Amino acid sequence: MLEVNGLKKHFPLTSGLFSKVVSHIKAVDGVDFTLQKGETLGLVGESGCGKTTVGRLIMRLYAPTAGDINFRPHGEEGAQYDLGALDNKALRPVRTHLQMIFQDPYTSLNPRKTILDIIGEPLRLNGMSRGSELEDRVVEMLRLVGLRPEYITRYPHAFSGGQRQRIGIARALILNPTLVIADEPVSALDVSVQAQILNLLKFLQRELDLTYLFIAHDLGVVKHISDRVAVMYVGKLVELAEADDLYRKPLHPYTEALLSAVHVAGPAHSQGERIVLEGEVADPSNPPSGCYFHPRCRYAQDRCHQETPELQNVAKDRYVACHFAEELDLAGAGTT
Amino acid sequence: MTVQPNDTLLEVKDLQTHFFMAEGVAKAVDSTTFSIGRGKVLGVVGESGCGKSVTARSIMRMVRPPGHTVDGEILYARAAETGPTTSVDLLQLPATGAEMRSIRGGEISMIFQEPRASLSPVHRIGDQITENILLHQPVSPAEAEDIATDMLQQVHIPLPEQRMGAFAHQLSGGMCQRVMIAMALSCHPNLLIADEPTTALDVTTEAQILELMQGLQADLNMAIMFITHDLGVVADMADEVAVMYLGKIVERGAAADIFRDPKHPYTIALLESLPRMDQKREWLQTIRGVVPDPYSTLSGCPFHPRCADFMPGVCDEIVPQPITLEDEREVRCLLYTEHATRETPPPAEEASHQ
Ligand SMILES: Nc1ncnc2c1ncn2[C@@H]1O[C@H](COP(=O)(O)OP(=O)(O)OP(=O)(O)O)[C@@H](O)[C@H]1O
Ligand SMILES: Nc1ncnc2c1ncn2[C@@H]1O[C@H](COP(=O)(O)OP(=O)(O)OP(=O)(O)O)[C@@H](O)[C@H]1O
Ligand code: SF4
Ligand code: SF4
Ligand SMILES: [Mg+2]
Ligand SMILES: [Mg+2]
Repeated sequence: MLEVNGLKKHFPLTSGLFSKVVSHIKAVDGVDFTLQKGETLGLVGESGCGKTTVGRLIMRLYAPTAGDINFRPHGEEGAQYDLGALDNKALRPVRTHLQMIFQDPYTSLNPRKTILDIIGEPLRLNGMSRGSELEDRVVEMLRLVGLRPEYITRYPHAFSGGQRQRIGIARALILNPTLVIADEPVSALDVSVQAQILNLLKFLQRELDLTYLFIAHDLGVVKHISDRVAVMYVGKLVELAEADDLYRKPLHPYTEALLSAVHVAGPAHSQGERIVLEGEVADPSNPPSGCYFHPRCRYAQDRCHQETPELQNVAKDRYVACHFAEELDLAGAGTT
Repeated sequence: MTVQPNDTLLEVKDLQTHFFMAEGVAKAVDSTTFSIGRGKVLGVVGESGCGKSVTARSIMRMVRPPGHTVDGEILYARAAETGPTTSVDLLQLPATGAEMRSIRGGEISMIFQEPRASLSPVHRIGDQITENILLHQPVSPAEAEDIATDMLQQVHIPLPEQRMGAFAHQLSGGMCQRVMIAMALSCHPNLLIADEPTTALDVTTEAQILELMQGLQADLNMAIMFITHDLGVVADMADEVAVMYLGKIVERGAAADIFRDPKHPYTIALLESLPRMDQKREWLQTIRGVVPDPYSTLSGCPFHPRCADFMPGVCDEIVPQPITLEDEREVRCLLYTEHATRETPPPAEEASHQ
């Protein structure tokens, strides 16, 4: 349904009074993946590695520096859009299919509008319903995300952080989109409300055949919701696999480090060794030579300093970018 | 003066912060009592909307109308430059007066939930951090800038010198959060109020940031009020845990005890709804119902419509008061009182969260 090829986004890094461009931040630097209809792809990776930028590129909130994004919405036989190449006008009919749940709920909600206006706006813009019909839909959405219908006339500032996040979710889901890019949709929610929202997302997926690109850093949540998981490091994918496989037996050393750092609640858990990543986060305007992960990789060898590993298909539905993926025996999570 | 390891830094008594809205009065914080020892970490957990952030903002004296702190005391043990530590009731200070301004952001600083919204969109982040340092520390602007750059480095922001000149919209969500953390830590507070400080961070960055906080806690004897919904982080960081429900603390005690043996039915339910990496469950457990509206006045125990151990005729009539159990655990639940209709309180279900 969605096919992303060689996607890149470079932001200019300016300095000085005249904003001279000194270099580029390679926020997304060659990403490929596909999304099947009705599936959930989890996207994880270090803070600043480019996850949100990938989402915004698919939404076409940013224009890609390079690469293409092919989108085939269902319901329109044979229709195919190259999102990367379309201008704003040509994008308009596609936009109803695409929705994003933003990472920063507060800054994405208009402070001068009531919740009714905010959640109902996508409906109104598409002339889908009006008046009491619109209000009924909004009330229904509010209930689904666990907010009280009486709140409908309130403004965003009168809500708690987690309540605002759910307003963003209601707004994104009200149009029955085809593809939802959920950027940290449950990060501000306590476990019980989080469970309620995850159940809702799954339920809607069943009912409406929704497809999700689910960006999150909570690996427990990602495992629960995702069919497949992609791991990103400094603008590139380093591993892509079925969720269960990835957690049970990661093939990339960065994935192993991520899984080892998870906190587990309760004293009954014996935690395996936690791999603390030494060294600095790679600088996306001037990434290291060879494998970007080599300065922090505990398995790095000479070859890693020079040659950049490509994302390769190493087994059925398993992709990894590491020279030694097939030799290393890495530890998974939660299996001991 | 010698600093005793266990002396109290902040004592909150019967705090009540209400929002006066057209629809009625929302009792966001309703009679909350707790204390934090110098150098200790108090974890605060509870369902979305239960009043955690409003409690934190009340301590910072940053509640804005229509919200007002209508009652209570917030006693802060303020170390004078010379002479003994004096106890100041922050609620008695004018919120915008000189004394409160020198405490806020300096001695007591806060990492706000929703970092991007708390940073100014029109000022460079370097200027924002530097300004706060100049306000609270006797340093020159150049020194302040060095401290700021160093703090950005410590929160693992790549290219800190260049990023000093960036605006918030040019940073990722997790970077904004780390800028906020750098700002809060730059003045070496006695008390750090961290409101969901790691929600936007991946696990490895989170581990680095928690380590940084723990380092400062040890080196500077900094106390932390750690608001989070991540029970794993609480288990790792906190000495004590307070569980909030509808503006009240329903359970409080040593972190290890609460995880081993939760007493309040709400705490038990909270631990049960965790998604887990070692199990495959189709649907996650939720606590049935939703947090009631803070306007509503429920009779009896505020948790009773959702409680698995609800005792008809008891829980919907008697308001539970905090009681102290054996291991200095405080709970607000009638199961542990003479009103209990059952012989024994339910065994805290060990199996449920293993
Ligand atoms: N509008 C922009 N202008 C300049 N740089 C940007 C812009 N948006 C993002 N960046 C940079 O691109 C990189 C990737 O940012 P992105 O928001 O995609 O990260 P992320 O993976 O979503 O991180 P997080 O988990 O912290 O949200 C960062 O270095 C960020 O500073
Ligand atoms: N400015 C305001 N006006 C009216 N009501 C408010 C305002 N700010 C907060 N509230 C209400 O007070 C209650 C407590 O909010 P608070 O932000 O403390 O929740 P929280 O525990 O921090 O939740 P979360 O985990 O979602 O951040 C909520 O029900 C919220 O709707
Ligand atoms: S290619 Fe080398 S440095 Fe990169 S992840 Fe594999 S072993 Fe580590
Ligand atoms: S007092 Fe009753 S309703 Fe409230 S938590 Fe205890 S058992 Fe449940
Ligand atoms: Mg992001
Ligand atoms: Mg909050």
